[in-house]
Amino acid sequence: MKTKLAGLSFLFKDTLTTIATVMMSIFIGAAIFAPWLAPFPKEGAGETNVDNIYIGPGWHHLLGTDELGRDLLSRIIYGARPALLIALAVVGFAAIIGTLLGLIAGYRGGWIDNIIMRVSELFLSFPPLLLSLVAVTFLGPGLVNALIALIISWWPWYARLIRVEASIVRSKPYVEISAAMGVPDRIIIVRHILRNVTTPLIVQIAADLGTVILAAGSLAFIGLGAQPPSADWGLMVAQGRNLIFDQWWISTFSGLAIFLAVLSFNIIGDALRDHFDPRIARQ
Amino acid sequence: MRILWNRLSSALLVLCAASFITFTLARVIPSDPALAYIGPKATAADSAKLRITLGLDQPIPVQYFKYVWQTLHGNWGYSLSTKQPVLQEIINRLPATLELIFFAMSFAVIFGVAMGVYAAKYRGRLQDSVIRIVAIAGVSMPAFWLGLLLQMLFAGRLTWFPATGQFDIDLKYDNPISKVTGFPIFDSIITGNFAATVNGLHHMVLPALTLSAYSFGLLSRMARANLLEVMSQDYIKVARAYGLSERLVFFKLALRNALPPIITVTGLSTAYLITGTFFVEQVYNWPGIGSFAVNSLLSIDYPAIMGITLLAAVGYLVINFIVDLIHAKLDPRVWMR
Amino acid sequence: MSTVLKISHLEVDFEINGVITNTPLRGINLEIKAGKTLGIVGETGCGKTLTATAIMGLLPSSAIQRGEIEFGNHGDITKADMADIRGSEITMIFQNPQSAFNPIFSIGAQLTMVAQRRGISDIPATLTARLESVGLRDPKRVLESYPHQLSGGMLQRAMIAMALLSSPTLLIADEPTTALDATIGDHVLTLIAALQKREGFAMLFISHDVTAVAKTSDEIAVIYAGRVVETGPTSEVMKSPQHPYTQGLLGAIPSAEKARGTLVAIPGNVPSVLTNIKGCAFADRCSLQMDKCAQEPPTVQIGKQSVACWAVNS
Repeated sequence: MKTKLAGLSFLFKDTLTTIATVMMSIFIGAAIFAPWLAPFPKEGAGETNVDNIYIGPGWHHLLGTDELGRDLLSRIIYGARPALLIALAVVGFAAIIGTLLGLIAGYRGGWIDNIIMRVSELFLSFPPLLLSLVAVTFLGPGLVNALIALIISWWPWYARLIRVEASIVRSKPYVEISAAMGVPDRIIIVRHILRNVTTPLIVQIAADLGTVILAAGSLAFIGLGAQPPSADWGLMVAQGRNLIFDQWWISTFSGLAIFLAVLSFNIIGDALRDHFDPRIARQ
Repeated sequence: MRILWNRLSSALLVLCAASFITFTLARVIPSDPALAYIGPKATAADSAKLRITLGLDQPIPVQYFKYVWQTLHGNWGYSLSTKQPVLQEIINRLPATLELIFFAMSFAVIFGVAMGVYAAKYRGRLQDSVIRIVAIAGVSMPAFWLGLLLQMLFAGRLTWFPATGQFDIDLKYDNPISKVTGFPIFDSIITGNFAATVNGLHHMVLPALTLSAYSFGLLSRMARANLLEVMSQDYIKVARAYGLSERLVFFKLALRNALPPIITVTGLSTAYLITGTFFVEQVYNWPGIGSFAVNSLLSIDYPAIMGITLLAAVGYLVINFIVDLIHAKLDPRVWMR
Repeated sequence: MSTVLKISHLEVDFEINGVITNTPLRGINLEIKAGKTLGIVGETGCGKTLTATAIMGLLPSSAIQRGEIEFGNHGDITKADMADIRGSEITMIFQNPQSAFNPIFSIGAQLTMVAQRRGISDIPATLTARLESVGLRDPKRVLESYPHQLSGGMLQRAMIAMALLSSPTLLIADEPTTALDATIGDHVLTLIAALQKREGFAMLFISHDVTAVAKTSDEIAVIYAGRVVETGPTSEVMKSPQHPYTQGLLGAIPSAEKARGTLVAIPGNVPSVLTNIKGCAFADRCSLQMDKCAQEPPTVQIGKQSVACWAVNS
């Protein structure tokens, strides 16, 4: 698997994937280098400029300004930060927690398996996003709470995915032999199970990054995510909502940012999946 | 038959647990639920009195059982914002949402699957690439953004469609719809009130399109992928070797094999639509459960939130149950474990 | 005795992403007489199944085909529309019966589809009779069953029944017993032999298992790397194999006489489809290799056998 990823050429395998890779790089770059990339960094961070409100897209402000006179392009660039942060944090924690629990469940089996799987199924019995919405409502609005709410919703997917893979690998002959020979559990898990589990895990993570950005944006749109004056794309779409007919650029470009970010992650997720499992790609 | 019973019992179990989770979230997490009822200006004595009235002083398990008992008897509490019984609010608003979901899913299933099949048939060609891009765009689009965009373009700039609402405001007076099933558009068809039908459909287009985008993309992708996988199977090769016509092979054999997973995904995405309505109804001012849910969440209307969550969980379970049944019917391997 | 199938200089290339592969079939010449069985034997990857696919006219669009395949009185069928020949006059049974049947249709439904295609009347009676003729004693149950409910042996019999529905002139059997247990496989071979005697179809029997081929075939053709290296009546080839590869194959068969000796393995590997083969493809694995082998050897006739090898005296 290491050699397969080392050849990152799959990221450029065709036009669409290449575009997606470029967009994702821009997105990550914007998040990291916002203060240097944004034409009006202070406004991007939240400073208002009430002389300039509602300026349409033009040379001075490429994407126009918002209801508080802030340059929209800068705001959008700064908006990459909470988006990327949430994506990485939610998927990261959910994957870690889920993988841990899934490994234990799949490897040990028995009553631990049962409990972990029942609890996961419980969480998964709610329509996606609903649990997060309810959780964040009761936790209180805010970026961190949205993060927690999303992690609560997301970990069961990983737990179930890993558990299935783990129990498949667990029953493979070479693992049973290792266990019979007295190789300690920890080593079996790391050496055999994790190796086999890595591929589906990576594919799932790539796909989820996009989905989480979408979910976080949705939470923010309703008002339950990041709060003003934070530059959060979902929040910005909500702020421009009532102005959609006249000052259309505020919601349009903010939403476009979400769309393009999610799109690029999804395309790359597809490319990743084809790369590891080219069954269908082959003739 | 045994499988049916298994699924039913596990579904019930999940329902119980789901209600418990909602209950926990509502009662346990916030530090003082009573505060929401009377507002932050209440004195300590008032809130203490209220706690007793609401039964919040009882131990949690007792509260839970009371909650379950009341729920099963149709007492879902009173909405804090509208002061109406929660169950009544839900019943009033359900038809609007269900109709919206119906049209959105119909569009998504019919066109999504058709496009996916078409893309599979012309695999590798231009049609395939275009459809794949459209599908993946559909899956990546924020529903609220798409809604606003469509609103701005087709209602604001082009005025082809109305921007908000389920019907024209005047319809109540000009062509009121008599209630038969409670579902407005269907009632208007049944009672021959076609002016109202047209008006309703006119208002339905933008919201239904917005809501269907995600499922449309998802189903398109799934249909294509499944069909391609099926087409590469041995039994398709064998069918061709026996001279069966390409038409028969593609439509009867391959599609029947590719269908079961598509049905499953249809069920899943219908469930996804449940939360999708939250955003779409907000944007289009649709008088359904979605907008009610968002308002309840924002005003932290506990009884309403719990009622809606319960409803959503039940709906999700029912949909999945039906999907499993259909899947089993189509694929004999399932019930012959 | 009339010739049912005659393949002359069949070559097949594929074009994958603009790259042309190295002629997986490099000049096949075969002949099958009516009512007789020709066995094709060779290692995996030598082109046996590809030949069968070419005969059936089922090569993918990326294939480039040269040469002639004459069948019955249809002439060269490489140019013909195979739709009416495939599945009626030429039928095929496959290696893995479990995956050859559609899992969500009953056996009866699938057989019926084929029967309808062939315009057979009174389908239920025909199917029942056919299933009985292949040794399935409870035809009704088999017809109602789904593939995963039946054993490999039963499925293979059902597939044979399906292949014989149209009373074909030529039956192609591609590794029919490879996926079955040894005893079951044996029964299937016996069944096929009996059916052939009774119904008179010619057969092309493909296998990597020399013993199975020897048991069922009147004539053997040995294929290596896309070319026929030896043909001849089975008894002759088995008694005195001329080509070094054939000798190696037969030497590799475990038998009671050799029980105490070692199993002879042919050193080396079959060349991959992507390597460029100049001259005799077997040369680098051959103990008789000479300088001449850098050139493609001609096919010489020795008694009733024909061999493609420089080392054989004419």
